[in-house]
Amino acid sequence: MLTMLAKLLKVLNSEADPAQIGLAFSFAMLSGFLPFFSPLNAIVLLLVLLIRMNLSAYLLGTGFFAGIAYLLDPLFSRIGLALLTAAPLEGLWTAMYNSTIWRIQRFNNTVAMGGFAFGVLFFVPLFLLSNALIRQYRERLLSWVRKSRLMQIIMASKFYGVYEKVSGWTGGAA
Amino acid sequence: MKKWIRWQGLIAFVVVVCSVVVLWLFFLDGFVKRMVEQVGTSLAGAEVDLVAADVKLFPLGITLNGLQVTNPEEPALNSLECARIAFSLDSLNLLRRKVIVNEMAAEGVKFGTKRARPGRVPKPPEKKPGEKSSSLSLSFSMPDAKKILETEQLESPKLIEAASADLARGQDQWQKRMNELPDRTAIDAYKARIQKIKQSKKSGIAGLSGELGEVRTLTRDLEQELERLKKSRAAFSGDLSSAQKLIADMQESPMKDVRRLRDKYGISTTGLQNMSQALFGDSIGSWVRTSLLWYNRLQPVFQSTGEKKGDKQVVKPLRGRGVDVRFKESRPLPDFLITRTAVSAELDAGRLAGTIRNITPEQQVLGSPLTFSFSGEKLKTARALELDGSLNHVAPSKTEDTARFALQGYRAKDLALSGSKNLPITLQDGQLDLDLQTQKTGQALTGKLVVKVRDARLNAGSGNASGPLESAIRNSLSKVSQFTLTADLAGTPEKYDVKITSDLDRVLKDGVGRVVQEQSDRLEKELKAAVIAKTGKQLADLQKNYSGLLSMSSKFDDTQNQLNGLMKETTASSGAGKFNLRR
Repeated sequence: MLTMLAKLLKVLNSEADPAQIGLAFSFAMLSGFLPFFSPLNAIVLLLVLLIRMNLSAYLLGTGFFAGIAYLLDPLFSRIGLALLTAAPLEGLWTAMYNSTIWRIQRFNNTVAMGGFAFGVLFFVPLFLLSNALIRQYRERLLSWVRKSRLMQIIMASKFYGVYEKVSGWTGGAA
Repeated sequence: MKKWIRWQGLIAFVVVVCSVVVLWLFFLDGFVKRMVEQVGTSLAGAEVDLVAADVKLFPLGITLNGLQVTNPEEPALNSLECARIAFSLDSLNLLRRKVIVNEMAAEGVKFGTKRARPGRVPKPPEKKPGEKSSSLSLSFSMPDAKKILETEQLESPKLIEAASADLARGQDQWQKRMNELPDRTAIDAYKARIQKIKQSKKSGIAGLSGELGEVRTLTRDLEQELERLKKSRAAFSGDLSSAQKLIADMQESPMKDVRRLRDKYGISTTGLQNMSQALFGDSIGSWVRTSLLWYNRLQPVFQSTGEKKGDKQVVKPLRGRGVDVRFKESRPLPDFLITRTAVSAELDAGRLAGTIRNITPEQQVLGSPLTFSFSGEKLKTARALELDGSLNHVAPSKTEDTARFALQGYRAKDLALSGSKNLPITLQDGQLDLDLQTQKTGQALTGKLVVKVRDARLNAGSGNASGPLESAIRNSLSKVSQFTLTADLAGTPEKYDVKITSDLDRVLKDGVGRVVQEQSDRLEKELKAAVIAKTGKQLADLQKNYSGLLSMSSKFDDTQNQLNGLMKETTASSGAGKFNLRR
């Protein structure tokens, strides 16, 4: 837990582009909302590695959103079932169902479809929101956080040792 | 663009994917082995073990070696053991999440083999409470009369006691009424009045008129006494005849108890009409139970659990979360299908080889039923063996499963026909023809088994019971050289009835009937003696009460005779006899 908090602070306090961090969070949400062994996750991973974004933010976000997905699974299943049984989309689904490439993606699973649809729907809003929030944090809160009493206490604690340790890692957007 | 793309990420992706694939391949054999054991255990309801699984990628195929399925009813035995199962998978369809096996081979299949250690049975099979053991209905030993009377309540002592109390009460009541009848004092008073009339020397009309008046008064009094006496006597006669009937009933009541207990604990000759049901019912019932148990366990193999939602079918997956929605396919194929399975099994009788076609839980998708056909090859102890049938669930609302098993010229040796502890029956030697046909249409289950045995040598063994009845059965069976046994099955898988008939019934009835009658007579005699011993004193007391009542009858006679004598004396001795004294 301490390590994760330290990592988050490191990411937010780093020089990394807020857009790269925001994009990583959005992809993390997509990964987290899809079933772990879904083939779509492999495609998301390829994009994450190929597109320059903050890997630490992606890994942190994936863990976070996977936990959220665990709670939202019943909702995803309902959304997925509604989409997969919607009459106007039946032709599309039938065509995809008869294609091996799409069948591999297991799109006809209600949780996979619901999670994917939810992730896609909130992909751009989350990107824009996190981008804006990180910028605001860096402009208004970063210097205050560094000087805050709480931060002083943390820096004097075991947590700071962990923070120092991860600060030395070569992560970030590179 | 360069700011947003990092090509070295592609290398990282390839490395990650390759690492996952290599790790997956490294653990694949173990994963398949564990999956077969886990899924097999949940299907069979008992431990399933696999020595090894070997997965080949090019061409994609799996070989399972040393499969053992524990018998849930006897965990020390395997219900099935298979030396090798090999099959190849359709790779393209596997990518579409469809397990399609075109050809499968199961070699070295054996049944009932011993296990190195007892298998784990997560949930032992339960015997349904509705099922009763047929052999329990046939008691091979006549129980002891004393033991019967220790547990059974006799009705006759209570009845006799109540009757005795009734009679005693009646006797008391009649004793009181007797006291109201004219006694010696009253008779003497009447005599004195007659004497007085005789001695009076009145003369003249007035004197004669007075005398006549006295005679009339006396006559009227005597007539009233006689009338009262007659009425009492009539009532007494009624009570006496009731008491007589009661005495007769009470003398019969111990015998009623004797007959009731004899019928309850003894063996009636009519009970011998269907001894084959009692002797073989348990064994055949057990075979039916085991067959249905396996039929139910194998149902997931040929019956889908999916539900329709409009035109689309929603199927619950075995693993994972959510549900899979299935759409219309251009070339429909089930998710799981083994098109043809070649099976070679080693039986005591020889080798059984055959094929099973279309193993799939989605017959409605495939449009073809599961069929199986086996026949014996190089049989050592039988002339011919055939097993065939089909499980047709193409239309889930109109299912029809059939099976036929025929065995001809089977040389049976030490074949257990009845597992009864009291009287185990073994076919030591004989030629056996067996024909079994079963059908399940919807929930209606029917079946017929016909077993014809020639050159038979039956042995009723040395069970727990050893009495004249068992000896008679053993003796009768030892003389049997051929017989036919027919079992008719009817009902539903949950509630069925097996009716067994055999020409052995006639043989057993002839041979055992006399012994049963003797045993029954002996039991009756013992019961009679024991019951009479319990009720004898009560009956004697009852008889005594009755005798007391009967003795009152003579008192009525005495009183009536005395009153009649007085009446005659009154009319004759007064000299007024010449007058009409009747009013």
